[in-house]
Amino acid sequence: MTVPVAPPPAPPSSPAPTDETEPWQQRLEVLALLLVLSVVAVLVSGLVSANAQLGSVASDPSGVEPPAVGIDEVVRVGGASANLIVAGALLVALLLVTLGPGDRIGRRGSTVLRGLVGVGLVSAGLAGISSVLTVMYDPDELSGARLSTDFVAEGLVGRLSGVAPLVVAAVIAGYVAWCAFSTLGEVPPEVVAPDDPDRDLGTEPEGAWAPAPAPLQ
Amino acid sequence: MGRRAQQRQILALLLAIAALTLPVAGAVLYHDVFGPDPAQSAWLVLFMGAANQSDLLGPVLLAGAVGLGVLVVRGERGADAVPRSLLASLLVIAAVVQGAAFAVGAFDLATSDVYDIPSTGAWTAAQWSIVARFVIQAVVCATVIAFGMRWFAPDDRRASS
Repeated sequence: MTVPVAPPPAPPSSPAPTDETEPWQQRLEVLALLLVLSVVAVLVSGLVSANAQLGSVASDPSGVEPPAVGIDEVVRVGGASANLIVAGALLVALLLVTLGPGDRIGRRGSTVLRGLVGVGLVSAGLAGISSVLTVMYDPDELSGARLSTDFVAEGLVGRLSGVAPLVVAAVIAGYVAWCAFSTLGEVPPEVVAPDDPDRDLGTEPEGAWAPAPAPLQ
Repeated sequence: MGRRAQQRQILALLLAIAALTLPVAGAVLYHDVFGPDPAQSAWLVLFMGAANQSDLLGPVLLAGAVGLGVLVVRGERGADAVPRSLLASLLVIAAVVQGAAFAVGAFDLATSDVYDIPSTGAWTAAQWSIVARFVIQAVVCATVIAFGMRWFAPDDRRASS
């Protein structure tokens, strides 16, 4: 006779968002959400204004149809808006969610963390590509080429010093995205009885999710 | 030490690197652009470049790195993701570079005649407000240096409380 075996419990997935968060945690999450939205606005406006400026520079006053602005030009100029201020704003948003007074992260906090993953990666990509394009940019109109490797011969240090803060901003934004991603996938701690001898006081994750409610009698 | 604490340590390290990158990049940039300027000495150009590029963002980055570092140090025990001495020394170096740039910039702006600032009330007010800003930012950097030096102490958990 075979004994029916219950299927093993499903592995815990990302913590379920809950609304039972402390009031100040909710307020901080609103603040973080606004920060992420403002970063999105900064990035979009940087790209749009770069497109407009480059288009107006390229336009001919004689009425001839101006040549289309290349996407690489727009990213090079507009990507500079993904600077250290933007990376710092993303970092502050992450800290607002994960360092809040409550142990639980609410729905809004989860949304912020998901947004941080996307916006952080976009910001890091923009800053990184913009810095590479800026280093390789060739403003020589005679050659016709926009990008070249002549920077090795002329003013490499000057160009690198110009884009160094942007590179650091890209690293910070990328790491913030990774931190947000790993926080989203955090496994809630197992519920351990206080008198359990196997209870390890030194390895409980910080900011853990609240323990599951006691089973109904 | 929990994973989040280790991530905060790495973030503090990245902030300290950014706080050091800003003035160094500004100094190199100004040296490239205004290098052979006979009106100002080469050293002064470096300091002004570092101060102008750091602006308000540099001290903010320093303060953020200190805040994250103190949070981690006081929060948990365990293996550090970043050696504490490395974080502290990087923070002190960045604060020294920024502080020197702000102090020299404030002194130069207050005493030098090179800038040819008109002696009208508005221009004088603008000049001294920038001097005051540089001085305050230099004080912030000095405070960060003091905090960073305390991290070198053997038992900083007790010292920081």
